[in-house]
Amino acid sequence: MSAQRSVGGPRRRGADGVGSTDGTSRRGFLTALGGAGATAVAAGVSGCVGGEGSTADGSGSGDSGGDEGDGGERPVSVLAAGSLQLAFSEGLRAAVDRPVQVEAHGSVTVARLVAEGKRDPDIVALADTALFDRILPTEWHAEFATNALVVAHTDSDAGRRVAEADRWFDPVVGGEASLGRTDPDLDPLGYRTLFALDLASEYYDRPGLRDALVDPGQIYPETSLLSRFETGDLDAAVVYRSMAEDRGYDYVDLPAEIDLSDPARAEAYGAVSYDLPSGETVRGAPIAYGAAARRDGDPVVETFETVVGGEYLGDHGFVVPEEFPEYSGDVPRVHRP
Amino acid sequence: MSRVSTARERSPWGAAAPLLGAVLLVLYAVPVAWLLLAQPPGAVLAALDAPFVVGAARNTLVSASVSTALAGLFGVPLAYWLARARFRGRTLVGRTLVPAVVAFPLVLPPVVSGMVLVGAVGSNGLGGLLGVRITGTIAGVVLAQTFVASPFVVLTARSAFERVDAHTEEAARTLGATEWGTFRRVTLPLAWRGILAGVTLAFARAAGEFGATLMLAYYPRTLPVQIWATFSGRGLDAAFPVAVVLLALASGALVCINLLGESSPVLPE
Repeated sequence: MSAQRSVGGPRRRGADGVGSTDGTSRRGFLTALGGAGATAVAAGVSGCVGGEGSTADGSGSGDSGGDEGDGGERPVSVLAAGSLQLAFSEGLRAAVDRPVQVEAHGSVTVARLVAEGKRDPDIVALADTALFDRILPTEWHAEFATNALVVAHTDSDAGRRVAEADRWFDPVVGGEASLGRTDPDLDPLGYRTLFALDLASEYYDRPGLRDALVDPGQIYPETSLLSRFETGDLDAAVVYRSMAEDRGYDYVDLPAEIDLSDPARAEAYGAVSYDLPSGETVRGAPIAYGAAARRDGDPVVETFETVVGGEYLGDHGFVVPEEFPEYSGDVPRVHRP
Repeated sequence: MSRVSTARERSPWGAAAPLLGAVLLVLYAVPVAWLLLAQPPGAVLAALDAPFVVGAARNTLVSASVSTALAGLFGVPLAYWLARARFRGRTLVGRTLVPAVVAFPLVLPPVVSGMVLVGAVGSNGLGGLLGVRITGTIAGVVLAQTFVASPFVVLTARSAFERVDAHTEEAARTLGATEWGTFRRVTLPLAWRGILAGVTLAFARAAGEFGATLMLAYYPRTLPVQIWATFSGRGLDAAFPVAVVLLALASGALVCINLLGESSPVLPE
């Protein structure tokens, strides 16, 4: 209803021109179109201003009008890993007393966008600190949270079988349930899934378990994996616990030996690896979210402190170990804890 | 006599066309109908209540209108030039190279178009040189949409102009009409249906444009970007009501465009 009302907005003058059919109003068509255009441009300018502070996602937690205050202050821009989107656009924005603009893509995309100069955010947050070395070299960064891999399952019969089995993978190996995962060449979740399956082979003492679970037909880009899982096309999927919490999935927790959540098990996780198509080898490691600030202004410093402080993360399924935030590299004085 | 009776017989084609066409129609309609039916009306209304959806709807409408207007303003002259250059068979450039350039945005995946545009107008490109920020502004959205959608105007309008009989134009010129007058009162009215079809396509494409917009201007959010962001944060159930809003908005706007276009325009002298 109100969608149609807003259609009427910038086009009202043009629509009036249609109402009458005599020659004059036909002539008026382009004038009217021009008028509509002018209105649209004017609205565009205000739209631009309004957009700066608009709520980043479907949360509705912030109202777009309220964030534009502070005398037209430029918002602090945060470019973040997709799995951080909701935590940042809800939790972080609520915790910071300034306008914060959150943009989220896959971690590898985020790192590349910044490395190639296509984005120039104040703060970058990635789902894998290794990306700071591999793709986006920065002088320093801070590890601020960990996450865990879990096996999310649907509410279907097959999905429940995964939940109720003694060992979650038995229904998958037995062909009773399908397990999806993301593309290991595209995002850290993909290769971390393979690490977890490798570690599982050892943990459950089932050599070849990984190969039995890995169906090349069940690899998807992340967006596609989640749609298929949510529409019931897949019975189970390996995802981050934060994603499962944010989206309300049912899930099975994995043992710490394989879920990559425990910084203390770094050495054990390091026993497995994956070869990327670029020829690089990624080694298993605890999941560590890292952030770096790229500017020194007060708003950025304050926002960065909240980002790595991590109090807002608990509600979204992340874990913040005692020792975090852990800084590495040459941290500028203003950003030192 | 026999002619009349033949015309009244149902030819195989007359029966087959609706059947074959219906297959495609079902393909379009069923997923959309599912989208609409699967949504509790309350969820759609709730989405309309959220300020970020209203903001995204406004951004979508404004940017798609502006980029469609730009596509018409620059696309129609380009189409006219291409049609006539081709008719005269004068230049190789007009006949082959320029049409190929027009097709670039159609061939490139939108995300790649977005990347190319960011490189060209971003802080390392023209935007940096001129000290103007285009990425992340409504101008960036309009640029992305115009890039991706305007070829629809150019290509449909070109074929519409080509169908206008050149002899009609020559007759007008012989009778003393200026070149502009001929275009305004002969060529444009005759080609108007085709141009309108192109404008309609361009608007629809602009309103739904996602890939290039995502790269060039994640903010200010348009509905397609908002749908994706909501989906990544909250999942399908949260994203679908926003998709219904986009569908309603775009359908409404397309009806308006077609109503507007019912009468052929008369340009000023």
